[in-house]
Amino acid sequence: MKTQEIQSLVVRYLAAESTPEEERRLALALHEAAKNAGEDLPEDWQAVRLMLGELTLGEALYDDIISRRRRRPLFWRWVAVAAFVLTAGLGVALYHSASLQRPADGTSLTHETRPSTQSITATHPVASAHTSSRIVSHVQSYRPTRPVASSHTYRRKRKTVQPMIMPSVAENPSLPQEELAEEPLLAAAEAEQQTEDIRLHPLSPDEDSYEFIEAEMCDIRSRGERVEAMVAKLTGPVK
Amino acid sequence: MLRIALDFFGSDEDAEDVVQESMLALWRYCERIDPERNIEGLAVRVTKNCCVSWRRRHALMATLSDSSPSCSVPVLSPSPQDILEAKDAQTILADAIARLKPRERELFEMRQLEGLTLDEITAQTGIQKPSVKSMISTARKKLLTELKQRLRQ
Repeated sequence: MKTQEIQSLVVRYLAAESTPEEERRLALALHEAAKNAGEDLPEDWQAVRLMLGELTLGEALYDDIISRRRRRPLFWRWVAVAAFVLTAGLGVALYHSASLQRPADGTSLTHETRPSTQSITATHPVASAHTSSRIVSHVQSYRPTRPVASSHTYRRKRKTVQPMIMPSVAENPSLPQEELAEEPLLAAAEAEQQTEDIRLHPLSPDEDSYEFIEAEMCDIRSRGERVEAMVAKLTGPVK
Repeated sequence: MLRIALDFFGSDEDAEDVVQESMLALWRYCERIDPERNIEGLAVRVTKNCCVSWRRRHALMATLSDSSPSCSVPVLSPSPQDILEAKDAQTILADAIARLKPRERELFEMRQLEGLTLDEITAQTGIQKPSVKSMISTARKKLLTELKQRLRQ
């Protein structure tokens, strides 16, 4: 409290115009002033300090201590709220940045997703309305210059058979000669068989796929008929 | 009174001790005032004052027993010189109050010790508020003059 404020309170106190609350404030201020100034405190102030007495000072100190204790949890509560808001804001910002970087279908960001991103700027134009409409029309008429992978262009690489280098009998005399002679032939035949079995299928049904399915169905049917014939031969005619 | 002490200390033991001390102080004071008078405000003030005094005493004892600088409440602990000066000042004040007129002394004590407002004093004594204010002001100014003379000596 400033000196002028203390002096005005002293005057009000002597005129019996001060309230009990003002007297408590005055007692506390004079106590602080006496601690700082010591013997240099004005006589009037020293006398008023004595008149206010220990009771008023004790009450003022009590109220001061209690109010300080009550302010402390409020401060920490505000700190906790601020930390929570900051964390939540940071989380939202991180989530937004992550969702912008991560594509919806698990592939990389393609040209097909760009128009929807740019349409936000069209709904909230930074420049004038004419400019934003131009942006929209430009976005709608946008064609990707880079090819996008699709089912029609999908091709599977044909498996190639690498020539096998076989050790000669002279290099590995411990092996029997028959096995060494048969192994490369068998391996080559198996690899060829696997290569023949692999058929390329498009991802979406088109004419090729229907033909393939029909051929497969015919093959399955003929196999079934053969199996039935073999079973009938072994067990007799089916009733 | 117990609630005031509990708010301050937070433990039943200390609070009950302080309330007991406050009751003794009130008992001593009530021996010399009208028993019909409402002393609720005085009881509150005495309890608060006893709480602070109790804490001061404990802080002083802690300072004496533990000379480490990390004592938690050294601010409130007065030195023995401060205690002697306070007792001396109380004697001076009591002498000065004793020289006031009986009516002035009664009103001054009601305002200063019991912490009553002017309206409450008017209600209890039946004296008009301007007169109460005037008499309290006169008493305070007389005391100021008296105390200033005593302080110069």
